[in-house]
Amino acid sequence: MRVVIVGAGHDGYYLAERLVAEGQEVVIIEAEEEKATRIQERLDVLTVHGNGASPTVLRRAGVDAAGLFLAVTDNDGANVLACRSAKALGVRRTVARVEDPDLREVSPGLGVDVVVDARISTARQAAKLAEYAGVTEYADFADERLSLVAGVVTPGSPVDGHTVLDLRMSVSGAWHFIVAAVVRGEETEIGRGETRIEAGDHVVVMVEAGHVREAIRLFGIDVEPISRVVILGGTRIAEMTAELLLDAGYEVLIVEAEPERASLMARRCRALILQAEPTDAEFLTSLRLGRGDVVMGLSGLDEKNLMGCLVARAVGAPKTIARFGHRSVAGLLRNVGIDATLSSRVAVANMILQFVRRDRILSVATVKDTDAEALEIEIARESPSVGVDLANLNLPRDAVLGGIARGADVIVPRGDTTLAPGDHVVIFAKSDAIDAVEKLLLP
Amino acid sequence: MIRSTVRSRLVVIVSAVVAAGGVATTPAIVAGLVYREWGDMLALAVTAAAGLAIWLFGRRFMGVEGTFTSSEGFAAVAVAWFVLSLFGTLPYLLSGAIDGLVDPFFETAAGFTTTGASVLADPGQLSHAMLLWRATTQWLGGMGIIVLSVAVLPMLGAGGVELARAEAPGPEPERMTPRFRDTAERLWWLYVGLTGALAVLLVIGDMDLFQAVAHAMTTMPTGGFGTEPDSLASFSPYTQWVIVVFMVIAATSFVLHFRAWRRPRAYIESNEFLAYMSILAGAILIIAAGSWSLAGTVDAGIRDAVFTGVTMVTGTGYWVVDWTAWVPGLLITLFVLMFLGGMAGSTTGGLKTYRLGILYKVITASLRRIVYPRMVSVHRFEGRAVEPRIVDGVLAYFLLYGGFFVVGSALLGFLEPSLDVVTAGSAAASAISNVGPALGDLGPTATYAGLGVGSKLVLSLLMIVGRLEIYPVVILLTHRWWRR
Repeated sequence: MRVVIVGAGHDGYYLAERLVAEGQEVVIIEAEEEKATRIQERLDVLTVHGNGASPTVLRRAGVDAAGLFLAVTDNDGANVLACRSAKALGVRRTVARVEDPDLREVSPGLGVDVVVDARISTARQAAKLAEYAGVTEYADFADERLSLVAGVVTPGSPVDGHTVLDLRMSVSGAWHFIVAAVVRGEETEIGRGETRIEAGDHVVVMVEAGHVREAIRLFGIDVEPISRVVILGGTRIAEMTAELLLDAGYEVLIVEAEPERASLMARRCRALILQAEPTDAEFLTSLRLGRGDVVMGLSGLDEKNLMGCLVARAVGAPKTIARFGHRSVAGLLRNVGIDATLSSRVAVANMILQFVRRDRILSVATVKDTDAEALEIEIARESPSVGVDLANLNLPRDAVLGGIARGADVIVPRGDTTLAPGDHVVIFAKSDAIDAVEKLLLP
Repeated sequence: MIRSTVRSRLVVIVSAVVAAGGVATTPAIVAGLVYREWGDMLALAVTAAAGLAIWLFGRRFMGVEGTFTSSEGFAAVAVAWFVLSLFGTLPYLLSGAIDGLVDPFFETAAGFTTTGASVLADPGQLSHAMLLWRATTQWLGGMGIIVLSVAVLPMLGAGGVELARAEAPGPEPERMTPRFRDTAERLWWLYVGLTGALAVLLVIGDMDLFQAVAHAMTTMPTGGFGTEPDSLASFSPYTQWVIVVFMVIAATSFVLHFRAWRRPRAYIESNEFLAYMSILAGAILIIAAGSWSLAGTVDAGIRDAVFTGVTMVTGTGYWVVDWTAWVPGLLITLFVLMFLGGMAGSTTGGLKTYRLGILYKVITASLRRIVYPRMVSVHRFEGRAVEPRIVDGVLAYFLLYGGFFVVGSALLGFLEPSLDVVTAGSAAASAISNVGPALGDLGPTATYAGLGVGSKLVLSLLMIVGRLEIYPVVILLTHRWWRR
């Protein structure tokens, strides 16, 4: 399928990278010469230099043959306008990134089929990462009933040296889990019964949302029982995250350097606002960071988030979480003292990838260190998988079924479980196995 | 000298308020007809005629261009309230129902300010017509205070603007209606409707129609004038519980009632309402614990504690149990409760819950600043930032309130050497917070009749100062026109 992307900023670049990896035909429209050249040099895409709302430019990009049109520049208005032009030229589906809530409401009438705003899901992810400070990944599926959580197995943890099957035996009854993957060095092994877990492994576990803490304890992931969250940077995401954490009963501080922004935040947000430079060591020392604290860099600047988290770590913060725009850096940071990273760009891309794939795919989550990802798929009545038990489904070796949401229930799959129409299944798979998974599950 | 246009507008406003007082004699006149109390009815009719005459004089000044500045507006409110209190003494003076000049003024001031302090040992000594006039002064005062707090003061803007938020409690910043007049009208209908409903509920119980109407008219303004010498103590538990519920309703913001009419969740979404409820619950618990051993039965113990807590916090001033002999801990509790009051936009007096809420925010913020010196100081209330000038206004209000209380109680102490400290202090607190009865020698069973002229005037002034939320009176007394 041809996908046309308007905007080669961080979002556009990352989307293009992911789509190319999946074998899609990608055309990028970018107004800035330099960005256009850079992406052309690095990715196997066609770049068109020009205004994404101009019909001439759009024709040059071949939108008439495009199955999907994505407008992801930083400018809401430009995105909507581009979609409108593309729609007029006959594009089937248009997706725009729109952050202004008012504009989002009227967008459907303006030629935008789908509006994405990743801030809500990013804030939710940030809040969960803070609550389980110490895990490396957190994602929700099936209306927040299934959780994906990842972390590093500590030496001396009860799972060290055991196989997944052993663990399954030891935890019976009350709750269930699926080991989606074990990452050891460069190797990603999709979880099987015989997979052996060792200290230092990065494990990815699927578990019912209510039992995340038990899973964390079982795998010996070192988490901090937090009471105070210090957020660096007074961004909109910081505010949304703070509200979620306040509702959950934590003390939340937001640090913002710019006085005007700080007082605006103080008027709008229930969190305590501190007007100070988030990377200032003296200031961070004065917070007496220690047990029960987690520091999150949620400003819009990667280097500020990194710097703030590192300084906070140095003056006593037990756990730190940083937001990053450049995904390439994210995976490298765990070893330098950042426990988890999150990226609104990855979230935007994940939302958009749902439309690239077929309609029945509801959400996508990626895990750093590995090219594996989690997909939530709704099983259609016509799906070939309906009525087949899992033992005979022949899922590819590099894919595992992480959980099934059926009606109000969450089912942890076993060999004799059969899929029914309307089930939401969460599949964890390496990227080269995704095609095969889709063939098995989608009609 | 005041500019003549300002004076004209002042005359119009005062005469309109007096005319309203004249019209308000109607229920009492009807009672006079029904009960054949011709002399008192005549006094009331003359009062009504005087009100009409004053209005006919005042209306000639209508049509003057321009509007009040806010300080002139505040002063007008204070002048109108004083003049109305003088006018309201006419029925007592003309009929001789209450002797002297100062006693009728004290009783009328306690009426219009919805305080409920009385010089009468037994209200039964008054005729039905006079009792109903006495109740009407409170009912009219309650109406006046609603329109004052939701319409007039916000319209005047500056100074007491902290009150402006009373028009829109709750998270939404929108007003109820675009025009203040419409807002006031709707709230009045609510007030009238609630009074009617209460009267019906009371008639169902052990009150006769006259008692039911008179009590309904003094409950809704959290006034507290009764018809019996022992207030509500002799009425049935049903009647006492009904009164409790309506005291709570009357001290809740009327704007909030209005919102909740369509959206009952509005109550639990209001921080001020929740704080008001918590204060009530805490007061009742303390009183119940402290007075438990004195109660005859569990049922009566609970009812007495609830009634006393509610009557004190709402500043109504009815009573079912004489607290004079309670232990000092309880007396101090009652003394503190007198100051609190209910919500803004209600008929209650006192400091009011939202001011207590903002004070709480200021205190917690100043404690937090010790831990976090870089904290950005913005106080939030009801989900919104409170402007610094409003916070300043609230803090100034506490100081002014405390100042008036201290000066008032000291004056009482000087004027009445025979009073003890508890009595003098609690009488001043009760007056400025528009409660009614006090502690010590001026407890619920006692009357204010024994005080001297000076003390009665001091208390009357405190009632009016507290009722008008201090600022109008202070502005009237300090405005520059006095210096010309």
